[in-house]
Amino acid sequence: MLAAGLLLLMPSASSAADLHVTSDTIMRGFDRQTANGKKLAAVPAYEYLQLDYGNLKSTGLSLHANGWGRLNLGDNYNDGNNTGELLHAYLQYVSPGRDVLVRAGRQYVFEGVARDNIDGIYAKTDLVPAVVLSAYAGSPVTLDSSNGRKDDLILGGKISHSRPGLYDLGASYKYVADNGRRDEESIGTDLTLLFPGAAYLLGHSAYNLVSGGWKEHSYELRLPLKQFTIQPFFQYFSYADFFNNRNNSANPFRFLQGSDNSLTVAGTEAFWYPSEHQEYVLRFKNYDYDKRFSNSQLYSLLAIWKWKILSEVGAEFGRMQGNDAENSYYLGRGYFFWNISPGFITADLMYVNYDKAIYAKNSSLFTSVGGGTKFFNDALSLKLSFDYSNDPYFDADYRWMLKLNYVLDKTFAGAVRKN
Amino acid sequence: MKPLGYIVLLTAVLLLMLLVACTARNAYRLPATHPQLSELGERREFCTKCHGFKKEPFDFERYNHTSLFTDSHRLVAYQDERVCALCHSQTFCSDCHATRVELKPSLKNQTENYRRVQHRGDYLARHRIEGRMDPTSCFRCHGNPKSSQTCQSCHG
Ligand code: HEC
Ligand code: HEC
Ligand code: HEC
Ligand code: HEC
Ligand code: HEC
Repeated sequence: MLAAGLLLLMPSASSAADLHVTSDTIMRGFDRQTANGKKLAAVPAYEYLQLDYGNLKSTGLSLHANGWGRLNLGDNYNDGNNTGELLHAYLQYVSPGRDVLVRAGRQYVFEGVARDNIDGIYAKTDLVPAVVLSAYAGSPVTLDSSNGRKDDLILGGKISHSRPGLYDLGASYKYVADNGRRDEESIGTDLTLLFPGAAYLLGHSAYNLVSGGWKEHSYELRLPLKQFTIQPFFQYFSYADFFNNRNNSANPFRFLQGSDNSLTVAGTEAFWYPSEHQEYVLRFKNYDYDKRFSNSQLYSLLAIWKWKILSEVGAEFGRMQGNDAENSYYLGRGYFFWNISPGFITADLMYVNYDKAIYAKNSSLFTSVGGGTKFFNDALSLKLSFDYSNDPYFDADYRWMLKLNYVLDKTFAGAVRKN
Repeated sequence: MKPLGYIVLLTAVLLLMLLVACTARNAYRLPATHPQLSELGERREFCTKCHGFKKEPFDFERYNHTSLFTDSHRLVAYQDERVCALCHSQTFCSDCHATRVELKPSLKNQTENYRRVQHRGDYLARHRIEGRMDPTSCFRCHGNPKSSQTCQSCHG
């Protein structure tokens, strides 16, 4: 795949090609108790690698890849699960007029009702004025663990129309089959409506063609009023249509599909910006159910003070007021991040108090302190952190983490063809 | 509304739009990439700070990253991911959306405490409450065989 990509890139490199590599190497350390009471010292090391090559800042061909892997340097940790994943690896083409985009390979497709990782091809065009068309087809990556990938298929697309300053309207479709069996088929609409006074309506509705019912309606208003912005929202979900219990689903969501419940969420976000350096945010959500639970509320309050770019202090207070004690908690968080170029120091403290104890403990305390610095013109950065947690699962959990981030940016002027 | 009615209505609306489109002339094209905000001396700023509130040919205000943007970007992301791709590679989205990354975003970027990411702190205990109150959000990311590997040890 990679080699084929590079080969394809060669003849088209009519302008300079850029290479961009980002490498994150992470080492963590902590102790775990195994089921048979043995103590285990885990030191997993991770590598997350991102590579982009080609005409990255202009049109033409480019190659993009990202993946990770884990190696256990200490005792065995997380044995049962796979130890790496290729998240994406695709070739992208953008036409000189910037009206055609094609991606081939493993990629994420975010397109209306599609938010899937596929091995396949995706194209998007705005050749027709004011109308955007897109389509994709391939094999869904997430289904490789359900009976292999034979006869797995995902396909779909979207059409949208826009009148700048007035509205955007889109309609999308998605079909997913696992081993030849139809697991999912949905259609949906996306909407933005602009009103005078810079107010907006944003929304999304989706319909399940397999079960024959509406999955969701999510709508949000944005009302800017000088230093304030108010964003009331409304969401409705029908569990029988939103969830599914076929091969492409997973626990613990399968039983929810059969629960015949529905959820209506209504509330608002409100922002107040008294100055460039301060910000206060309030969020309120009311949850209303058909079955199982009665009305519940979530309140969040957020305050952020910034004194320069990247240096800030923040505080958060939250209350989940569930229908009973089992579903209620208070949450408090405070953090700071202080940028002292080329380095920084930071700390985080989070405390959650549960109305009803979980495993005989009624709170979780999490703290983290960290710092770091940069070398070689910011190409290499080193970050170190220590965490402590005292919660229903761990009495005193100490962890450390070391992260090395390396960025390589290189332009190959040699790739320029002089004709 | 019945699905058939919905589809018929949609098709009619789309045909009408095509008609309008053929008469309208809208040649605006997004650039290939956006200059890096860090190179412009900013971290994460409202689009309107640099671009103002003009709605045509491109509407910037809609994309302002408020401090709750992590919880509420989906409605704009459904509409046109190319706008996000101006500044973000798919790797950026993958930190939170990945099929399988093993480390939750607050762990992978443990020192970036200024980011408001989901699952910060002890989430094993808290998740059952949030999961009961609104499981739809969880299903978006954990609702398939691969991305639910982390859950299987307890949820089967
Ligand atoms: C720090 C200032 C700054 C911020 C913040 C900013 N931009 Fe930009 N933007 C620029 C500059 C500089 C350019 C390139 C010069 C130009 O074309 O105006 C640009 C260009 C663009 C263009 C192409 C404009 C054109 O004429 O074709 C788009 C689209 C765009 N930005 C979208 C956004 C969005 C969406 C956001 C918010 C998420 C944003 N920008 C935030 C500075 C900024
Ligand atoms: C003009 C550039 C620009 C555009 C366009 C843009 N973003 Fe961002 N976005 C940023 C920057 C800069 C940050 C801060 C990154 C950081 O903290 O490391 C950010 C942060 C975010 C975050 C929060 C991450 C966190 O951990 O707090 C999300 C989520 C996000 N963007 C999603 C999107 C989506 C979805 C779109 C498209 C609708 C989009 N962005 C378009 C520049 C942009
Ligand atoms: C900091 C973590 C974070 C990052 C980074 C992030 N997202 Fe999200 N995203 C979320 C969360 C949390 C939700 C769920 C919100 C909800 O349930 O309402 C979400 C939801 C979405 C959804 C809706 C998914 C669905 O199944 O309905 C889309 C689409 C989306 N994000 C696109 C993007 C894109 C595109 C990017 C990269 C530009 C991005 N996100 C980056 C955290 C993130
Ligand atoms: C934007 C995507 C996204 C959304 C939305 C989301 N998660 Fe996660 N979650 C992740 C990622 C990524 C991880 C990292 C581990 C992995 O790969 O499974 C994770 C990890 C977890 C973990 C393991 C935490 C730990 O400390 O080991 C739990 C439990 C969890 N999620 C529950 C939930 C629940 C409950 C919800 C809904 C309220 C939810 N998640 C919503 C992306 C998401
Ligand atoms: C360490 C064990 C553990 C892990 C790992 C775990 N959970 Fe849970 N989860 C629980 C427990 C215990 C409950 C509460 C069960 C009950 O209510 O009977 C729960 C409840 C839930 C619920 C609420 C279900 C309901 O009653 O409606 C959801 C949703 C959920 N978990 C999602 C997840 C997801 C998604 C993951 C993986 C990302 C995950 N969990 C990982 C232990 C776990």
